[in-house]
Amino acid sequence: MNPRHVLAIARLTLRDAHRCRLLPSAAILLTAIVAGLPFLLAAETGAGRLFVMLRYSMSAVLFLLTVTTLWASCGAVAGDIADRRLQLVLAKPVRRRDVWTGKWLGIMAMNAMLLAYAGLLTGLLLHHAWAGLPAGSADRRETGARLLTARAAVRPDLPEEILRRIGDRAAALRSEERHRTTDAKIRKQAEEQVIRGGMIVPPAGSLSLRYSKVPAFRSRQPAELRYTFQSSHPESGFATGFWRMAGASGTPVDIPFTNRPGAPARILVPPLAGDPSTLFLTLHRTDAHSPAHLLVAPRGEPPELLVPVGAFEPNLARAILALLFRLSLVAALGVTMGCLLSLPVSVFAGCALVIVLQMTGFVATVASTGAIVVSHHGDTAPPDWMDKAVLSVLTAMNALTGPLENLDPIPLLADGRQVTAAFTARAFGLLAVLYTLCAAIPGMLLFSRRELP
Amino acid sequence: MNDTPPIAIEASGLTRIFRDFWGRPKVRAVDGISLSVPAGRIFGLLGPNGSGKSTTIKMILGLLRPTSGTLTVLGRPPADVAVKERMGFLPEESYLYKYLTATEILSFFATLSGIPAGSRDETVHDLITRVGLDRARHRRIGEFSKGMARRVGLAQALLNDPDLILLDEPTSGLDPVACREVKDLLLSLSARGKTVLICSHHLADMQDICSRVAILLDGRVCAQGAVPDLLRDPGRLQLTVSGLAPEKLPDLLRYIERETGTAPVVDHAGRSLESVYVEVVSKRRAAP
Repeated sequence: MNPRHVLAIARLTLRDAHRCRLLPSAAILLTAIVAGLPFLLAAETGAGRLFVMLRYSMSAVLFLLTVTTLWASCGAVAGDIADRRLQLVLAKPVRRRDVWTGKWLGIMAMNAMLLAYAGLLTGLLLHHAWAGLPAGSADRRETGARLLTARAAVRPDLPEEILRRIGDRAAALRSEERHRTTDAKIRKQAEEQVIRGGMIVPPAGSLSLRYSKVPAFRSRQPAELRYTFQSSHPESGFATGFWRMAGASGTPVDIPFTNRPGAPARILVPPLAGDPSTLFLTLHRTDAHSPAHLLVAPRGEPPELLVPVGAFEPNLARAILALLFRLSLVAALGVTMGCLLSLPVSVFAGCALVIVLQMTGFVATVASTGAIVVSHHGDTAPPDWMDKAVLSVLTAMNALTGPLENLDPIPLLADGRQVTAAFTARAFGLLAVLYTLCAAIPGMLLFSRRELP
Repeated sequence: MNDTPPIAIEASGLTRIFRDFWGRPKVRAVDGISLSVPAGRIFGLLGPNGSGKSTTIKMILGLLRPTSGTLTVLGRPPADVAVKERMGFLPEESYLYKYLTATEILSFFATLSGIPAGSRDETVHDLITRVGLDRARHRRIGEFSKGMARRVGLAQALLNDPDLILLDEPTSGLDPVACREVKDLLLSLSARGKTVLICSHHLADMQDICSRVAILLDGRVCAQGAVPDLLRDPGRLQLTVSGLAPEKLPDLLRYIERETGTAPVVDHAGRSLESVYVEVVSKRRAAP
């Protein structure tokens, strides 16, 4: 690899993108999306408006940049081949892998500039919108505590009895061997099943949860407890009671609740006195006359504590980096397709691969459950040959794309959750290194064998 | 002492068959040609459209692989990157990045050619001046006429002072003066020991500058050799006389007719239209 050649080709690709107005056009569209979408999608509260900016604007930014990257990367090589400009380049003492790398690097430089611009603009507009909320209002407080922050998720410690039952259930699931899936996924499935049945509170009963390893609250901001109750009785109405919260020492704090079963609930947890690394939460039901038992973890997920641990800006920066790593793979796929196919065919093939990448969650679910459509009425017909064929394809796809599941930082950002350095490092290792190399190496090898008539 | 010059390009039984999607033979573009291009000479590749000239050039550049036969360029396989360090190429059309300026594009190709950063700007500047684009150096290629783009193409082919220069229709789109300048440039390169391989339909141009030519038809070499040898007609003689008094001409013609049995054709010695055009335009431009 000749770094001078790579840099020269990268610079040329970037300059070409700028001069043919791809770069400024994309920047204008990004501005329109980031600034305009919150006005199109009406939100009643400031928190709602900021959520729209983070969730939908950032998703639209990612979509636009994915399309731009695919078009630019396919065109960078396929366009040069079609216009025969590559003949002149390859008549010079340049290796084709340098051409591949230079084109990819040029596209990535363009992506880095556009993403940095979109991130900066989003950050500025978020702060502007937040500053415009009335000082001291609940809306402003909630927006600051739930969106413009970086919160770590803490799950309660599971008692020994529950852990033993999870182990037994996982062993049982593994022995069934209905579907090929990883041990981690079997363990997760067993955990969900056991917790779902293990966290049930009778009328006037209580449930104690201990959260150890709680990180220090940042700037004495409140944490948030999230849960969704479910009732054993369909006509049971609201569940009432109170959460008793206590640190390792100090006076407990009681916070009453009235929750509709099935609806997600949130409670702010103030910083408590004593050792901040351990929190004790006890759920007390006061609706003694209710006939229903309360399922505290109906989906197998126990109440989650979100603790503010960092500032929003570095969180946004890490999310932008993770998005850049995702675009790295898209650019690698585009350049490889452009090296092997004509421009329209390469864009089409690239789109198909990007759609496959977007489907990682669905594919993983199908592969782990062994069912393409889950019926909630219990009338599932036995799978026919077509179902089996599709299932085999999706299982094979999952083997390729499974590791990329849960690498989207936008839902974390829009939920005020921390995009950790470990998350960003995982995105870098998988998307920008491993999968980008998997797309690059065959592309370089086949390109070096390709003839240019 | 051996006077035979070294061979820059050696092709033997070179064949290239284009196939369709299913791998079936579609076109035999080059059909077993054998060529020897001596180093330091200007070699012309002639032939009608579709005769296999461009396919041969692309095989020499390593852009296409021969279906069979052997090909060596400067003693190495054509796909070898080291060969391209000593090679320059001007394609039939100006396949340049139209959003870049002349300086930017030449600087880009200079980097690819391995010209050190310290001397890159100077090399680019010199070449732009040499091909007569001094005033247009900061204009984008997209705004250039065909002839101007052709000059940029020629400049990029000469960036690395190559030992072997491949030119596909180098005078296409150029005005006669520029055409003459290009031909003079190629002759000067040949005089410096550079090998030039030209594909062209402009037979007069080829006759002016090529020392050897090969004529291709349907992918095969129909004729090959030194230009004077190919042009020689053993049955005809050309007599050029100067200073002959007009009254002595009839005696001379009668003598020739008696000796050969046919009446000779008499005409004034003329010049080519190109030389007249170049002279007129040059004088006009030189006038204050």
